[in-house]
Amino acid sequence: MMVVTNNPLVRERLPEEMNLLWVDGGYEDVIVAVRNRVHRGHRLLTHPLAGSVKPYETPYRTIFLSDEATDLHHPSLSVLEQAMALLNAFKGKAGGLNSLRTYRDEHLPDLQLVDYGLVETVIQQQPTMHQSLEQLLREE
Amino acid sequence: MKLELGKVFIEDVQFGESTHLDGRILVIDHAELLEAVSGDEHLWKIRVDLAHPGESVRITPVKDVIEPRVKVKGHGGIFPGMLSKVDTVGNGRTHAMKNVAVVTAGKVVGFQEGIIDMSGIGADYTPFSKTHNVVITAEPKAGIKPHDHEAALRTLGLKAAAYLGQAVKDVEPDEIKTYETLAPREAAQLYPELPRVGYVYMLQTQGLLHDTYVYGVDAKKIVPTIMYPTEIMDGAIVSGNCVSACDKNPTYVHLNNPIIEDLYEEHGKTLNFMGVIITNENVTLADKERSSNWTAKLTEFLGLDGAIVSQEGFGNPDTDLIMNCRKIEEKGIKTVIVTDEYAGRDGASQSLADADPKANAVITNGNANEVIVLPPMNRLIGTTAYVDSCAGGFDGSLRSDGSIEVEIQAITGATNETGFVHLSADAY
Repeated sequence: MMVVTNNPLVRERLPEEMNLLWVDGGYEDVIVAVRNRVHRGHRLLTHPLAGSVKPYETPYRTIFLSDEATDLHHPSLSVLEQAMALLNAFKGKAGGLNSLRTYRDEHLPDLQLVDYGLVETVIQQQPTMHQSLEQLLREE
Repeated sequence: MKLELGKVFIEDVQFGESTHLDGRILVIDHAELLEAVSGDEHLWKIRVDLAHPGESVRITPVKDVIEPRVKVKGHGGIFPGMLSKVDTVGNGRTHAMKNVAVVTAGKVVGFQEGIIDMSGIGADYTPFSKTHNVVITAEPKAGIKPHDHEAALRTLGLKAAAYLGQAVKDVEPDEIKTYETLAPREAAQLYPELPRVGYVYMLQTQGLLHDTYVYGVDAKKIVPTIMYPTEIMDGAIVSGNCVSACDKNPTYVHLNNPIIEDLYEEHGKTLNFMGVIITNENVTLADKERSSNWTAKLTEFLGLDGAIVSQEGFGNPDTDLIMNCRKIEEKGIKTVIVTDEYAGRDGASQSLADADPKANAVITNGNANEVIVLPPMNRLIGTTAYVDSCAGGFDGSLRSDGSIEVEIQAITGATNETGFVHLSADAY
């Protein structure tokens, strides 16, 4: 399982056996990094959007992908393109998500915690569960 | 399963000597209420304020809103698995204290949200400006983790609602309504000529500040299951969801879910209400696939002709909503989805993060990105220190005169996706 993140707390707490792809950038940079992997045949294991926390309300995003790359997985691409479309819809006239930004720098540790909370259950699953998740996808 | 819900209508709430009803006035013994809710090792300073409809009062940041209820007859107690034992509830008799709500408020993490204005234009957007609110704020002890703080505040609110509910236990209600749901075999025979309709109730289950509990179980760990609607009226579903004030379901909404109310209202007239299927909104796509498969399977299992699906929240749950809709439709069951929109401040953008041609019957509860200006209020319960950084707020939201320019998503319950709202549409 590949973990694409720009969240320092996820990087700190990620078990060693999981494959980290660190993104030195913002929310959109994480989505673009994931899109590039999906184009190369990796599959989405988690949804690219957070639950209720909008893309301009946090700078952090963590998304799980399959380690294995196969042919282009159209359902993954479709979900991702919808997320990209939504991201673009939220951009202000200046073309950036920052025009709607609602968070402050002193809240960054809390926002890291909330993003980590979204994926905590996946991270805490046993390695065998991660393998079976990927196995399930291969057998689709 | 049959529940008599007795409603006791309250006209005012005041502090006084002992907690009791004085005619239609709820008198609260301040010290006794504090005694009933205190004891959590994570909290130290608990404060209780009253806020009445029409007053110049702003409450923020709001965590949960809860209606006081008490079990009078039948199995178990209110909020099973949270405060009471895990007996199956939903039968016998329950009393609800109408026009009164417990509101929990306070900071859990840095970005916060949830505004209730008791007067002004903001009051039109939240149903909780019409209730007499018993507002509880609590300061955490130093070093407490956000998980523990959220759990402590959540329990505090439930305890307060259960404590106040005791005041209507031995009171003859103003109105008694009986709700009954039979087991599927008998239910189907009851009105064979009417379409069998079920309700798919999606619960937000995404981690810290995004969770919902069913009989005390974290709902992200369940597979979809069937419930009698009356179980939910007894507090079997409790909110631990503090994110997205406008379209989360506070515990009050779970207790008073208008889709369940309306389905009962039409039961035996235009349709045969068969029951509720609860499902979750998880993070992994495998969970989303599994849960939507089960939801569709259970609609078939119940022999439904039609289903209503309500969402909670926004973002990746849009995908759960669409998966549920598509898979239920593919079973040949007509499906209506109930949601809200994030269509940009001009309302021109795509409203949901997912879509499908089978989602051809959609009810919206409004555009959460709509911007309004809330006038200054004379009294503040809680703090506005987080208004700029709440969902729907922005840098400069809080103006020097105390007015607030925000998207309506900052207002508790503004676009609730069960339709527990005051917004409606005009035709031009």
